[in-house]
Formats: sequence, C-alpha cells, structure tokens
Amino acid sequence: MIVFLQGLFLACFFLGGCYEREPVRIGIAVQLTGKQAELGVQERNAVQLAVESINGSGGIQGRPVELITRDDLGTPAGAGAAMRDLIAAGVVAVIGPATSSQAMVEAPMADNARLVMLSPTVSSPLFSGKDDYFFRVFPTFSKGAYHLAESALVNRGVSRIAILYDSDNAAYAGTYAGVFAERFRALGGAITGEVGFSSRTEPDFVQMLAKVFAGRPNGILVIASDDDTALIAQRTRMRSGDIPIFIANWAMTETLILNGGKAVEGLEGEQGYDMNSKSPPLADFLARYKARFGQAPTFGAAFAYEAADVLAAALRRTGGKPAGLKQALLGTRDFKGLVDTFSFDGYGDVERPHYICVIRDGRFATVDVIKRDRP
Amino acid sequence: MKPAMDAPGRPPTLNRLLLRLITLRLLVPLLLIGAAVFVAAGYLGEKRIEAEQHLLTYSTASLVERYLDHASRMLDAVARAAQVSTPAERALLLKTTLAAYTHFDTLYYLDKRNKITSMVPTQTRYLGLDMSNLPYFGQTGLLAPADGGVIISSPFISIRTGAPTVYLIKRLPAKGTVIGELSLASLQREIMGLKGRVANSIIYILDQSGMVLAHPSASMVRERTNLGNLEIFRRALAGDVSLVFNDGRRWMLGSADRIESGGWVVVTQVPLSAAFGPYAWTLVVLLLATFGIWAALSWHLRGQLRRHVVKPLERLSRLATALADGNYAENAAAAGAPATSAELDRLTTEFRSMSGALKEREALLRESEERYRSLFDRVPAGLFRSTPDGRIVDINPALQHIMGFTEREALLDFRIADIWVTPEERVKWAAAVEKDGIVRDYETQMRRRDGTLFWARLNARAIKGGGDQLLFFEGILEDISERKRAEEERTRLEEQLRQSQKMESVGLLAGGVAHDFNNLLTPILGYCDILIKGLAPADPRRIKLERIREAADSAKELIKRLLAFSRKQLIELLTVDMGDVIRGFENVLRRTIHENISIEVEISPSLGLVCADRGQLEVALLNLAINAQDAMPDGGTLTIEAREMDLDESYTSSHPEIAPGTYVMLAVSDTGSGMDKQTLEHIFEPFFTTKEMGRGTGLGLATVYGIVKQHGGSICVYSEPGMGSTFKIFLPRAAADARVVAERLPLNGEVERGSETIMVVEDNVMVRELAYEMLKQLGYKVVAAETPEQCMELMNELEFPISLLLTDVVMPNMNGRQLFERIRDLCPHTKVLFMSGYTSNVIGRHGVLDEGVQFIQKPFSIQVLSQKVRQVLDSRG
Repeated sequence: MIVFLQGLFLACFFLGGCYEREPVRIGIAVQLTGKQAELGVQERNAVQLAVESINGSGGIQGRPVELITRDDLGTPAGAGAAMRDLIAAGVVAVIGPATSSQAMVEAPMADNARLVMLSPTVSSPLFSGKDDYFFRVFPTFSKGAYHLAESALVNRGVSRIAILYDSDNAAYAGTYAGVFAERFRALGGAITGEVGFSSRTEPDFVQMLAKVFAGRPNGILVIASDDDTALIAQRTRMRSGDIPIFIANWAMTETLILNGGKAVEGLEGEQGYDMNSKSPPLADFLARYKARFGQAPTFGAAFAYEAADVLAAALRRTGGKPAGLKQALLGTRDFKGLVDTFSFDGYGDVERPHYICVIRDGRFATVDVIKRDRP
Repeated sequence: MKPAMDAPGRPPTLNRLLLRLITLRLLVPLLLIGAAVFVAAGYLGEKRIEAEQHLLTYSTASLVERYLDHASRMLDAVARAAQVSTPAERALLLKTTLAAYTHFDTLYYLDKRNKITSMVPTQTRYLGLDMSNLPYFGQTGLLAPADGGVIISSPFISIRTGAPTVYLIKRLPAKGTVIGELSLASLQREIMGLKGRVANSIIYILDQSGMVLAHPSASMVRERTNLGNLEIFRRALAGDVSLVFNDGRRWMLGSADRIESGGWVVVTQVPLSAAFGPYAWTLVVLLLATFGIWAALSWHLRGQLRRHVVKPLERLSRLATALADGNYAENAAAAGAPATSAELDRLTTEFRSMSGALKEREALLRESEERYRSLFDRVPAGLFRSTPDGRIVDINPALQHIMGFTEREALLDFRIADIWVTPEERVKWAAAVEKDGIVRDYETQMRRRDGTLFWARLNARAIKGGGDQLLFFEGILEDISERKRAEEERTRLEEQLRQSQKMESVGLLAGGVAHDFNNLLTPILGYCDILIKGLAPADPRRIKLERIREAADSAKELIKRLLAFSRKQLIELLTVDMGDVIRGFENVLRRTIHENISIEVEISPSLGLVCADRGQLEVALLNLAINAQDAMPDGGTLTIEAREMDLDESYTSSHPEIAPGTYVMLAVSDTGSGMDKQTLEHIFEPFFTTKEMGRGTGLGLATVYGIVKQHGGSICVYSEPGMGSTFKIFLPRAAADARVVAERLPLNGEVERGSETIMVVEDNVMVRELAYEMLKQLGYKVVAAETPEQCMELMNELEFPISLLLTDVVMPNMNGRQLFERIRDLCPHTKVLFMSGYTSNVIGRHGVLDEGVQFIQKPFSIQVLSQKVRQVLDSRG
C-alpha cells in the first residue's frame, strides 16, 4: 500500500504531462522575411488557421497537428537550410514553397528524402509531368499565361507588348514570359522587348521603363512580385496614363493594391482563383482569416488553406504516417476546395479553372473565367 | 481480548490493524494537511506572481504609450513647422528631425494627392509615388482623430529594416501629410531588459490583430508571427487580465494589459511548471518527510506491539494449539512466562486454569472412551456404523474378521453395496430401517472380501439428527453361516426321517393289510385247491374254480410284494455268493428282458460273500432289470456289475443307515432316458410310477428298496436326463471265513401224506378249519384249537403225543413260540411249524427267520402245506 501511494503520487507529479499523444508534425517552408515575404506570410497564416481548425475538431485520428514553420528567406541557401531543418524535425510532409525558384531547390530535396512536399502557389510548368514527391494545388500557369496572351491581344487589342520580369525568380518569371510570348506571337502579336531585372538590387524602374517605351509597345506585361509590380505600375502610369498593364498572378496580393495607389487601377491578370466567389466555404474562410489576422487574405492564403486541408485528408487515410502519403494524395479525386473541386493528376499537379481579374476601385474583380483547356 | 471483526471473513492481524490505524488516523491527516498547505502556498505564490506580472505589463504598456506619445509629439511639432515652410526648408526640417530623433526610420512629406514629394533619407525610386491606397494615407478610410492629432497606423514589418514599424501620420489641412516611419525595434530592446523576477518569465507585445511587435524571440517578430489565437490576447482586448492559458505547447500563467493609443496588447507570461516548480518540490519534500515519519513510527510501533502484545498472544495461541493437540506438558512449561501487561497476565492465569480443567476433563473422557472402545473392539459380534449412501464409517475388529479384511481401513473404503449380494435388497433394507427406526434379525447373504458368500444376521437402527434427518445406520452383523448350515442339515435329516417314517408307516399298513389278507386268502386258496381236487378233470366247474384260484394267487403275489417292500416279508439269510446269484439268474433275465437290449455282466473275481435271501436278491435283480428295460424302449445296454467296495465315512455320513466297512456292490446300469431330480426323490416310493396307467404297479423299485433295507444294505441311484441311470446296491460282506450254505431242498409239486398227530392252533376260524381239513385229507390226525389256552387244555386231554404243532405266530395272550415252548415241556419230541401272514419278532428279528425255525407263509396251498409238514416231521431233532 505504501509503495502504491508513493508510486501514484510521484507518477501524478512527474509524468502528468506525458499522457498526450504524439503529434503529427507538418512543416511549412515559405519566405517569411524580406521584401517578397507577403505571399509566404499569408500562406503560413492560412496554414496556421487550417491547423488550428483541424486540431479544434480532434486532430488527425485523435493526434494533434503540430506546425513547424521555417523561413526559407527567399534564397536558395535559405531554402536548403529550411528543408534540412524540417527533415531533421521528422515532419511527415512539407507545405511550401511559395515561389517556383525556391521550389527548384526544395522539390529535389523533398524527393530525395521521400517526403511529400505540397506547394500552395508554385505555378511554373517546369514542375509538371514529374513523378516525384512534389505536389501543388496551384494550376500551372502554362494555361493561364496562354489565355492571358489571348485576352491581351483579342480583348484589349494589344498588338505590341513589352515584358518586364524578375530574373531572381526566373523559374517562374522567365517561363511565364516564354509561354506568354509564344502564344502572343502565335496570335500575330509582337514582343517589343523582354527586360529582366534582379529585384534584390532594387533597380531604378524609371530608366528601365524608358528603355521599354523605346520599343513603342501598346501594352506591358509585368512578371514580378507585388511590391515591384506596384512600383512598376506607378512609374508606368507616370509615363503613360492609359497603356494596358498585364500582370502575373504572383503579384496579385493586397500589397500590390496598398502600394500601387491609383496606378494599379485597371491592371489585368489571370488567377487560378476567384476571390470574389460567393462560395460559402470561401466566405467562411475569408471571415475567419480576417478575424484571426486582422487583414483580408489573398489567393496565396486560400491556396495554402486548401493545401493544408487536402494534406490533412490524405494524412487521415494514412493514420498520420508518411508511408503511403504520396499514394493517398495521388488518389485524391474531386476534393472540395474553397471554390472549386480539384483532383491531382498522376504527377501531383491539379487541373482547375483560370480567372481573368482586373483591379477596380482597389479590389480584384473577376471579369472572365476560362474553363477550357489549352489546345 | 477480542480481535476487531471489521470485515467478513478472516479478521486482520494486530500488525495489520495497527498499520491501518496509523495510516488512516495519522498518515492521511498528515497528507491532507500537507496538501492544504501546498494549495495555500501555491495560491499565495500565484497571487504574488500575478501581482508582479500585472505590474510588469502595466509598466511596459506605459512605456509603449510614452514612446508613441513622444514620437507623436515630435511629428506633430515637425508637421506644424513644415506647414509654414518652403519645400527646401521642409526637406531640411525633415533631415534635422530625423537626425535628432533616431526612432524614426523615414520621414515623408506627401502632397495633397498623396504623392511623395520628399522623404528622408531620400530614395529616388519612391519619389512621386501615389500612396493613396495605404490605410490612413488616402482620404478614404482615414481614421483621423477628432482633435486632428497624429494617426498611428497598424504596425507592419518594414521591408528595409525588417523591424516592426508604424506610420505616424499628421495631416496638414489643405497642404499635405507628414508621415514618420517609427521603428518599434527599441521596444524589442526594452522588453528584453524587462524580465520578471520569476525564472522563464517573458514579456511580449502584440498589435491589435495579434501580430508580434516585440518578443524575446526576434524571429517571431520578423516572420510576422500572429498570436491572435491566444486566449489571453482575446481577453486582453477588453481590458487588463490575468489567467492561466495554453500557448499551444505549455500551460502558462499570464497577465496582459491593453495599450490604449495603439490598441496593442502587452503580455507577461511564465510557464506554470516554472512558476509552481518550487512549490511542487516543496510538496514532494513535505510528503516524503511525512512518509518518512509515518514509516519510522509504524516501524517502531510495530516493534513495540510485537514485543509486548503479539508475541505473548502468539505464545498463548501456540499453547492453545498444543492444548487442542492434547499436549498439556507444554502448557505446564509455559506457566512461568512473564506477562507484559495486567490484561495479558489475567489472560495467562485464566488460560492456565482452563488448561488444567481441560486436562482433567479429557482424562475422564479418555477413560470413558477407552472403556467403550474396548467394549467395541472386543465384543464378539460385528459392530458397524455406515452412512445412508452406503459408506462404512466405523467397524470393530470382529466385523473386520467376518468380512475377511486384514486391515480395518480397507473395509472403511469398501462400499456397503459391494458387501450385499443384491444392492436392491440393501436399498429395501435401508428403507425399512429408516422407516421403522430399527430392523431386527434380518438375515441375508453377504459377500466377503474374497468374494465368498456367507449368511449374516443384521440388527440395525437408524441414527437421526435434527430435523429427522438420517445420519447413520448402526448395528450388529453376525456371521450365521454355521448355524444356517446346521439348520439345513437338520432340515435334510428331518426330511429323511420323515421319508423313512413314511415308508415305515406304509410298511406297517401294508403289513397289517397283508396279515388279514393272507388270513382271508388262505381259506380261499385252500378250499379252491380242495374243491379242484375233488372235481373230475372234465368237470366244467373246475375251470371256474381255477379262475378263482388264479385271482387269489395274484392277490397273494401282490401281498407278497407289499410285504417285501415293507420289509415284513420273512426272509431267510444264508451266506451266498453274489456272483453265483447273478450268474444263476442270468438266463431268467435274458428270457425276460426284451431282445433289443443287450445284457452285459461284469463280476469281480475276488468277490466276497454276503448274507442274503437268494430269492429276494433275484426279485431285486429282476425288478431293477425290468426298470432298466422300461427306461430303454428303443433298446440299449443293460450292465450288471458286482464288486467289492470299501465305504468310508464320507459315504456313510450321507447314508446314516449303514456303517463304514466293506460291502459287496451290485450295480445295474442302463443307457436309457435317465431321470430328473424330482423323479429321483420319489423313485423308491410305493405306487410311484412314471409309466402310463396300467403298465406298472409302482411297486417294483419300492420292493427293491425294501429288500435291500431288510438285508441291512444301502441303495442309491445316479441318473441324469438323457444320460441313463445306475442303481447301486451295497450289501455288507460276510465274515471272511463264511462259507456258502447249502440250501434246503426246494419244495416239489407233490402232495405228501402222513398219519402223525398234528395240533393246529389258529385264532382265525377259517384258516383253522382249512388247515384242519387239509391235514385231515392228507391222512393226519388233527386236533384244532382256537387259542393257546384251549390248545393246552386239549393237550392235557390227549392220550397220544402230538408229533407236530402247526401254530399261528401272533395270537392274543400267548404267541406261537411261547405255546410251543409250553408244549415242548410236556412233549419234548413235538415239532413245530409256524404259519404266518407276515413277519414277527416271535420267530425272527426284523423279518429274518431265526435259525432252525420252520415256517410256512400264509396263504398256502395244500401241496406246500403237505410238503412243509412232511419236511418238518422228517427233520431230525
């Protein structure tokens, strides 16, 4: 009896905290600091919101989800360090990265470690058609850029277009430019110039635009981050008040609007997401995000939330274990996202509609939905 | 001292009881007090930490307030100056202000259209840009304070510095806007210096949406971590608060305060484990000390209890056990052990006196028990006690002996049902005992251990307990096999006696009848003969008379056989050779017995002589042969065998009529149908026959039996159905020096005459007159007397001597022999011829004629009478 009393007492005292079940650890590697951190922060916030929601409804088969966050700093070195950290932490999957250039570093590492990596916003077609551990819920822009070229030429009557792109994210920007230009030329349009710049060097866009306008374009395509796109838009409007500006989906964040002032009114781009949809899940998400983080989410947050959701659904099928997770994700069909349903193809890519958006009165307005596929 | 009976079943030991008391009455209160002290100390400690945290958050919040207020006043002063300055002066103003007040990262001056017109430090890529979409900048969404003071924007992370930053915005009516980019990095430094006294305590600042503005972990600030989900943050938005909350990994004790000017929140928190760790350790030490004291006290008290109470009690308990085992010596030895307390001393004393009393009582009991045990063991009757279901509980040596057990235990394992020959009988017996309470003199057969059966007599009664429930049977079992055998033997002997008495009475009856019959037949035959003699051969009446005579002859023959069977036939024993008899009679047998039966004769060469009546032997032989022939209607073999045999006691014990000795055996065997046991029992009875009516008289074997008995011999028969039969006759062998006696000459058929004087004495008038008539015809002088007395009178009157006395044997007053002796006295030459219908001791013993006595059997013919008379008269002496 004495031993029992003592044992019970000591056990209660020292071991009380150990009864909880081992959590399911999910990593997230996105850019959280630096000039282009907005997209990553939004995605991190959305994933955090999703994890809080999952844990609030009982976790994955009774196990709580623990989110391990790593800042990939937006650099190749940062991407490598973040991935090594997460692999060492024993995560079952990684959500991220936000951009294609970071994915060029992180995707092979994940594949090497046989660790599922699910990106919310990497859209470069460079990652398409590969049987690896890299997944994404974002549609490749090969279709979006293709249709944006059509829209520019056919709907807006732009026949000569100049392209500015951020060469720091060449995997995205360079490819996007290529797809767009190919289609644009194919439709009979002319590319008056392709100007790449390194966003890290904070270039002088005034001089750059002078060079662009020298080719007498009647439209401009900017493939850059929100911050840079805002500056380029402001500088462009100072030179030409009405030249149509087309932007890549990378830039379509709140920061673009905040920093763009009146100059961003009328900017047109394609997006894999209809942020103006009246879909109840989306409305619920928007409201919760706003309440949690004090600002409205953009497409990145929505995609990240879907990524966390679809990953959790797959993990429920594997009992929270990494084994079989790839197959579980590949087997995902008609998953209900916030707006559309989507399915993974055999290479971990998704098919979903594209939306043509225009900024009006400081908001993204959806003007067209392109459901047809690229021929 | 009665142990505490606080639980069903076994009561606890004193040690356990003491442990329980110490635990419940000492340890538990100590623990409760310890816990209460811990709770109280913990509560007070928590209050102290809370107060400390509250002070810390409050002072931090004040610090931030002052910081913002200070910067706002600075910007306000710059704006007022800028309002009245030229663009060049404005640029200078901004530059000098930035240099003087280093908390501003950048100072902007926006024109009326919200375009950057100047900024310090100058960055040309931003000059001229439209900032109208930024909150607080443009006309729309502007939350201008009512007093037209400085607007503080939501914090954001500066792209250039990576530090949290706010815009301080001062609107200049109709002129433009002065904006200061205020770095909050200094807050980070402040909170890093403001650590609570409690270890692991941290302070951090969140903006109104929960984004981290200052935190000991700087990366959380840079990465724009949002802690808006913390409960303490949400509660703090409504006012200052202290509470325990979970930060997602650990439980925290926190305090939060809202900064009024920016709507931000300052949080101070400390992990619960760190806050209360010292208290927990104190509790552990306290509890361990409690346990230690309790353990030491228990140990000590148990030792004391053991020495002063338990050991003395255990000693008494051992003594009680010894007492129960009957060991009084140990109790006497323990009497001197010292007591450790008055109660124990009293208990020891009482125990001692109880032990003495018990010893005395047990001695008496044992003596009584021994007396009864001795009785039980030595009584010659078998005593037992058994259960109703047939288990033996106790038996005495006598019963053990009866049952054939060498060890008593073996019988105790034995089942009653195995002893009884039929278990059903035992059930009936048990039921009877249970019903009547007692069953006396119940006799039955039982089985010994070796399986042999014996007769037992049971006297048993039922022993019942409370509620009339049957507990045991107990009683006496006696082996009465010996008595039973004696009884059976007596019954058998009685049966034999009854049989011989029956034969005897039949014989007496037959003898009586024969006597009168012979008297009746004598005149019939006699007068028939006389009449036939008197008739011419051709006289037709002669035939009728001969018919009468034939019938009378048959009657005479019948009487003769009756007499033979009833041993009333007078026989004359001579020493004869049995072999001669058989051989002499063989021809007669071969003529008489049917041809399909072969006759084999086996006569032992060294055959002794016997004393027998040859004629009777022949009659017996003939009757046995005829009996054998009847048993073999389809033919077979008749074997006649004669040899000498020594009969010892084993044979004579079952045939008490003969004595042990050497006998001549005559065996007659057939190969016929044999006889069953029932037939054998009655085979020698007169008129018992297995033949159909009219074929036999039933006297054949009865006659044989009578003849054998009259010869002092024995007859027995061996037969089984289908196996044939063998009749064996044993006759005593004559003395070794005996010789064969020549027989008297047989009577021939001639009528011999004479003239002597013959006195006839016969009480039967018809016989007397016939004899008189016959003798007259034969030429004799005849005097007849009715009685011996009359004879004696006549003798006196007679002038001439009597040559022959022909007298009846049995007469009233005087028998024939006595009469003859009287006459012999008068006339010594008088001879005598006795006539009788049956035997009488007067002239012989048991029907055997005394030697030298002449006798004529009634009824007699005139020829026999003439020859017999002549024979006697002619004999010498």
